[in-house]
Amino acid sequence: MAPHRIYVYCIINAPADINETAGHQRIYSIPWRDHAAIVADLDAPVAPHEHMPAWALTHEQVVELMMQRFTVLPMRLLTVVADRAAVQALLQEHDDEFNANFSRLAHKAEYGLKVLWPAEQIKERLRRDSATAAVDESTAAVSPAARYMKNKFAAYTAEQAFQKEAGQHIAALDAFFSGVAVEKKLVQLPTEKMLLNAAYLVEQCRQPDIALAFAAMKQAHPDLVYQFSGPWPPYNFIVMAKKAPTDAGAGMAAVLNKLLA
Amino acid sequence: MTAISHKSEEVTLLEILDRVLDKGVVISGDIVISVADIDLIYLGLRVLLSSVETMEKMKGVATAGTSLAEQAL
Repeated sequence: MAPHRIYVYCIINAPADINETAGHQRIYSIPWRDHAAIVADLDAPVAPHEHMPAWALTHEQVVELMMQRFTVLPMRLLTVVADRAAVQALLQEHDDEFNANFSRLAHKAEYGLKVLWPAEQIKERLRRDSATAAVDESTAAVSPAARYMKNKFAAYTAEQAFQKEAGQHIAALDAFFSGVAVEKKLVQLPTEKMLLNAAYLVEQCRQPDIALAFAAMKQAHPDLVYQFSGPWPPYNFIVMAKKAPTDAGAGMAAVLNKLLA
Repeated sequence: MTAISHKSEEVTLLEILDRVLDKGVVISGDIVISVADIDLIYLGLRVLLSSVETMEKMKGVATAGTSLAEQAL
């Protein structure tokens, strides 16, 4: 019986014949020229909201399994196409883009770094400094309107100082990785408390170096909270001409904000 | 899963989602069926976040990063 749909996990850099089980899923390859799509048959309509943890976990599991053997271009979660012909059409249509990505990403992996900082304390300090300056200057203020405007300006100045301080912290942190990573994506302050959401692309042979760099970073800035993870498939470093605009931290922040709205 | 377990102990489902939701190869066009509708994903995430305990069992790794994600808001 023909499958309902075909779920596409990733594209690999060889027309390999794959037919195996990953988790509870039978996966197989659909080759086209020098590449192959790693897919699974869906026997029923997709209802991702009912089994999201399993979908996300299986997706990552399959991509990482392939990553052990090939250079992979991971697909976005829940990429589903109609049939085998549609998979081949996908491979054919994007052949040039896939080739370019394979060339850039061969023998490299992504590492993630999220950093939290004490935003409230920093904001409070900056607000105090700003307010003090405003009060000093406002001794000659003669009207409530003038005082209101000065307070508004003080708040604006504090926000500018907050952004500037964040930028300085990020530059200091990024310096630890800049000599190791070949590409990076940095998102400053996706939320007030998250100073940095970053992804670094690292050559396989430099993986011990990135771990050492992270240890040095933590030692130099013990007051921050870190989440360092990897190696990941290079989700953040896929370049597709037709890709909808997005960015790492902002996307995550939007999701989390909407969840907690 | 093997590779995942080699990552930091704080690797979490949210860390995975930060990548798989809207990154990687994003294909637009007639050949892709749009099941990954954003609202659907958000809906799924609501379920997902309430299922972290289940996820811990499935994944078998610490989920300290969940609290980090919560702290970030």
